[in-house]
Amino acid sequence: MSQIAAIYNLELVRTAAERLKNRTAGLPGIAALYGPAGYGKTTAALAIANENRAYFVQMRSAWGRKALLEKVLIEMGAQPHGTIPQLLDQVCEQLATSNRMLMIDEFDYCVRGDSLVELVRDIYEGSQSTLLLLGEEMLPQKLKRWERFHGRVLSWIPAQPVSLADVRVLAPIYCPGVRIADDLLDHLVKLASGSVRRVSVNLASIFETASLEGWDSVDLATWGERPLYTGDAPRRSV
Amino acid sequence: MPRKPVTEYAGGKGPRQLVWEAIRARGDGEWTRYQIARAANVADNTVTTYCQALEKAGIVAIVLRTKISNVATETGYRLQRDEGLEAPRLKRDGSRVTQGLGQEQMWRALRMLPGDLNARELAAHASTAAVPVALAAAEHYLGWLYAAGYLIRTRAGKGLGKRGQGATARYRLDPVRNTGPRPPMICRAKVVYDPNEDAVVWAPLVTDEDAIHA
Repeated sequence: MSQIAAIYNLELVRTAAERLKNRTAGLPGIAALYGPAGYGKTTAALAIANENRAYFVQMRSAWGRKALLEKVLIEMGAQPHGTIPQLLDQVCEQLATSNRMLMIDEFDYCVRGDSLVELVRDIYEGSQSTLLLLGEEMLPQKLKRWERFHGRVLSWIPAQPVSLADVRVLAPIYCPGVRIADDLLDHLVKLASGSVRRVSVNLASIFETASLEGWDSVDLATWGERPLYTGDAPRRSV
Repeated sequence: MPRKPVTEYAGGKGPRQLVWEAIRARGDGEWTRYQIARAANVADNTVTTYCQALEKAGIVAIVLRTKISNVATETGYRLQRDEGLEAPRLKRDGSRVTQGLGQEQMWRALRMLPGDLNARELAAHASTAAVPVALAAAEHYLGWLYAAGYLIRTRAGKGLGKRGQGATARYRLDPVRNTGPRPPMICRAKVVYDPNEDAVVWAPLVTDEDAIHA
């Protein structure tokens, strides 16, 4: 059986999703997962989306209200047609009847003005469904401007930086069959400055080198001075 | 009569989807299987078996039995729990069908994750506790999707014959071919069918050669 990428952030989101689903009537039904880029927010959301067959849309800077509703409807397998209020009704009806969760990634694009925030609140009020919003680090502060929206968030989940335990889970997926010593794993965590993505990229590159060199196990000394991805812009050498 | 392949359905909708839409169209009203079969233009037996499953799942309920002759009763049904646009996929005993969920999860992973991935990573990200995705399933699905033009291969696989050597191929979804939420299907007839576009997007090339040497 294949490994599941069960990083800690996934557990956080799963707990929140359970809380949302089993909430007692009257409690708000929105959760927000926020944190810097690369912290594994989308990866965690994917796992939860797969478990619940959730509808997932990634917000774009160019989208207005109609575009957002249309994209959600396409995700639902419906044919969007009609005015914005009609589309909203269709979205709400499908969310309420199917009882599936709606996830909106890059929610920061929605908090630039009133119209999209209020639209998402309409979706929530109209369907009383569960919503998961994904956004950058400052999302909770930005959302404070809309008190009525802020009050409907049941849980704020700060995405956690990648830990040694996470790296141990990720290693067999990105670097199968190669035993990586703890000192190198530690080094990877330090280099990543919290980003799950950087750890994954580095594990894959360790795997590639190990295949070429024929290593069964690798530690920091074996790895030596070979480059690892840090995400920093290159420094000028001349 | 054997079941038609999915590529034969008009509008990409199977009989159960048509039945479900006919049931939903009646709202809270009462209906019989006969009325639904005529409205959806499907065989009576299709409605009967689906209604049995729906009733066991608690989605429809029997509200009335009218004796219409010495041997026959007519059953009136009502929709109990609307589940939305998609027809509930049910087995005969009313439990949920899980077949096909693995590919749905892989397709979702390909659409959601930025960057490229190989089969092992896809299997890991698409697996859930309820429906695990095997490595072989991920390899198979990626191979077919690539053949059908859905994926961009960012790196070719190389030298996988020996253990611990070589590299697996890496793919990412071609943004132009992100056709919709429903996963492309690899059909038994060795064609790739896209339910979002209701079209066969890939079929094997058959030439005169095959006719001679098959």
